[in-house]
Amino acid sequence: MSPGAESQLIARLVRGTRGTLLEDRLILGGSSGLYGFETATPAFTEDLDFLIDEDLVSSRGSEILEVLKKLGYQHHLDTPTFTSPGDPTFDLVGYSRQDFTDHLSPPGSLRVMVFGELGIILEEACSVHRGPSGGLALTPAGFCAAKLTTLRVEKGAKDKLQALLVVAERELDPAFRECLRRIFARFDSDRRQDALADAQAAFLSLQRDPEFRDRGAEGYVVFLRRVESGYGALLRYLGEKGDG
Amino acid sequence: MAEPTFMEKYARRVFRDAAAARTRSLLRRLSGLLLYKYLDVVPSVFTALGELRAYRLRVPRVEAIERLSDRAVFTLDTATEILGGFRFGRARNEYAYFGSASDLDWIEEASVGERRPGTSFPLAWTPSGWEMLFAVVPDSMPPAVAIAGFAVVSREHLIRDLIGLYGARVELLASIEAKLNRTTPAPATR
Repeated sequence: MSPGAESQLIARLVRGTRGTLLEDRLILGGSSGLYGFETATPAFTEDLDFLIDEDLVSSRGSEILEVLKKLGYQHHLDTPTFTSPGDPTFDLVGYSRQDFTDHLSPPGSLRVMVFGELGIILEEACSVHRGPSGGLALTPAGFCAAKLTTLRVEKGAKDKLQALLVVAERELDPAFRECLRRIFARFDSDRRQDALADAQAAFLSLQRDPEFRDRGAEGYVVFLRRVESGYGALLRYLGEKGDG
Repeated sequence: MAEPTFMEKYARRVFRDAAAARTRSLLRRLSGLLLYKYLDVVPSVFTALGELRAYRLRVPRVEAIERLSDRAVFTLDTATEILGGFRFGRARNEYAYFGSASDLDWIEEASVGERRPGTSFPLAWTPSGWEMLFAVVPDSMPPAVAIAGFAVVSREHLIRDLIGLYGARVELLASIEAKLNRTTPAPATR
């Protein structure tokens, strides 16, 4: 895969979907959300995720497949995955404006997994912006909220650590802080506490990981400090009383 | 019965993860308020605060602590032992911050300890028969209090260091509440 292949794919999809039913309906998310804003945090992913409204998938699934096929992306039957030779793979990930539970979209030509927390996060307008490619992408705050509230076990601590690194980078940005606070205000206090507890656990598991600790002392120290700083900032933001 | 589709299998995995997260969340709540109280603590990673060196002690550890007392700010189990006569870990390790690299050089010059190679020496495990000192020269010294002729990190920083090394374990947090709160001296920041 060529360097910058992810950004090229994103730009091609944005251009190719202009004037179609997918124009401004795909939101760059998942770990690939890190391609949607300025950051030094690595994505550590080889495929991309685009968030899509469940209603669009269930009402116009075949047309979506048609548009993407015309752009050269082959749909893998019974999956939300699309490929094109030489390009990174991408998945469609569902969100819903009405149903905030995890569920599968109804059977049809295209089916996606719908994640409840994404719908809650996307209700806050500041969670999405126009990214460098010209397409929609999660904002840094939207990205962090998604990573901090996701419950996927197989991803281990990666989701939480990526979020903490972005929080550390944006620590001094009041717009980021306010947006993150507003998004988390939409979750109940149990969920907010669980997000914090999972973030703290990820930080501590990293600290105790001998493989990580042995991998070059200097990098280890810098990384740990950034994660520590991110957790500290997160505690301050979520403890703040805002006006929203 | 029809074989589940890829998406159905994927959904089951998502639901399983969500159930595991719910269980984790409930267990946290069963652990009581302590765990949530300590969520507000930013763990501090002792080994990441500056230059770390590991020493095998060449004198009995009580003597080592005495001889280091005018240079070191003790933390972790060394601090809890000074504060209240108890330790959290089983390893016979001592932990201290020092103001400069020359303080660390002095440890060998004064035959208090013999430096061991590497920076990733296991903190929780000590070879049989060894007593270790883990010494860090931080970018800035943590807040400290004076007690019984020794300098130990402040209560707040000690809790950060303890959680940073041992994790936010319920029994550790209960011990902190039960023992540390009882033994913490009046603040007399150096």
